[in-house]
Amino acid sequence: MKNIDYYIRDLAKTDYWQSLYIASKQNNGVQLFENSYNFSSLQVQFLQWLSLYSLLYNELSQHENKFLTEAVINNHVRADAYLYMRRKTIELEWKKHQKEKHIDELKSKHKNAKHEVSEVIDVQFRG
Amino acid sequence: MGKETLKKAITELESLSFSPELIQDNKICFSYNNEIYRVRMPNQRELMEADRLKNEQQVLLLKQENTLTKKQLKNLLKDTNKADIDLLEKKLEELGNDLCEQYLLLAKVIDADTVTIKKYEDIIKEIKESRYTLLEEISNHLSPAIENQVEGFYMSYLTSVCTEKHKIVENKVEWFSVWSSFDEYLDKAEADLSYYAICSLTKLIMHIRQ
Repeated sequence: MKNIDYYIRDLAKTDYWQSLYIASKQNNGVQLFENSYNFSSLQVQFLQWLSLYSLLYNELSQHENKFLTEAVINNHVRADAYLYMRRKTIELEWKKHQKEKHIDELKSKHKNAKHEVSEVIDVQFRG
Repeated sequence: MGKETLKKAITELESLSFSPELIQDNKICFSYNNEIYRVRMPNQRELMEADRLKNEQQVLLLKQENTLTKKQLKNLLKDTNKADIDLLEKKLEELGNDLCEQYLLLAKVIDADTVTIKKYEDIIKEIKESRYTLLEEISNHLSPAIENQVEGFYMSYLTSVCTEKHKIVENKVEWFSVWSSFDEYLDKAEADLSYYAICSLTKLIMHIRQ
């Protein structure tokens, strides 16, 4: 049996709702729901999927990842798998970036310390 | 709690759909029997009262005979060969890791390879089912533990205080407390409504703690 999430996802990826979602982001006059605050949990769920599928379609149009295709977007399990891989890749890149930053900081500290030592030696030598 | 209810609760709690920036004023709305309800975050006074009652309840349970802490219950279950909770929890963790691995493998399969796609989809489905079964087993075994009873009591109290019902009064939206007291909640709350409310409040509190 399919749960409500299944139908919400199917609805969120349709051209109609994706167009409305993009229009609502660009133009304040376009509203997705009758209410504009106090969203129900179903509305929150729907908005989350709208935004995720919008991101996937955007990445698809820019050919950002060879593993992302229209068939992946149209299959919930494959879309979940892709989103998981995407998150892992971002996490790895972030860790790599942090490591490189840390190495640069250490190098810079080492360089400064070396500079200070050579200044001290220089002063002592001249003195 | 039945398997389907547990599944639903896990899906709700694990769901990616929880978008923090969309929660207005620390409240979550939900519908039940064509009526709109919401849960709000408890204020400091309500939290203090909930803590006080929780402590009272904990002391009461500790004084009672035949009550066990989680650790004692785990030991008892193991000693009587009923269940090894630590082992089950380890299995659960392994299944979680397995699931992640299968997702990564599936993500790299090309569209044309339908056989492999089907294979991974089936494996993922199987792992998910096993996880639900294990979670249900662990939850059933540990539900009598004092800690779990006390936590359930705490959430029930907060739910009784923080659940409100939507009404239109003279063309204006008004929110009214569903239950006038904890006693009324205990005596009259419909099981399904209280389940939805507890689930929503758990989500809300988890979001605030994040």
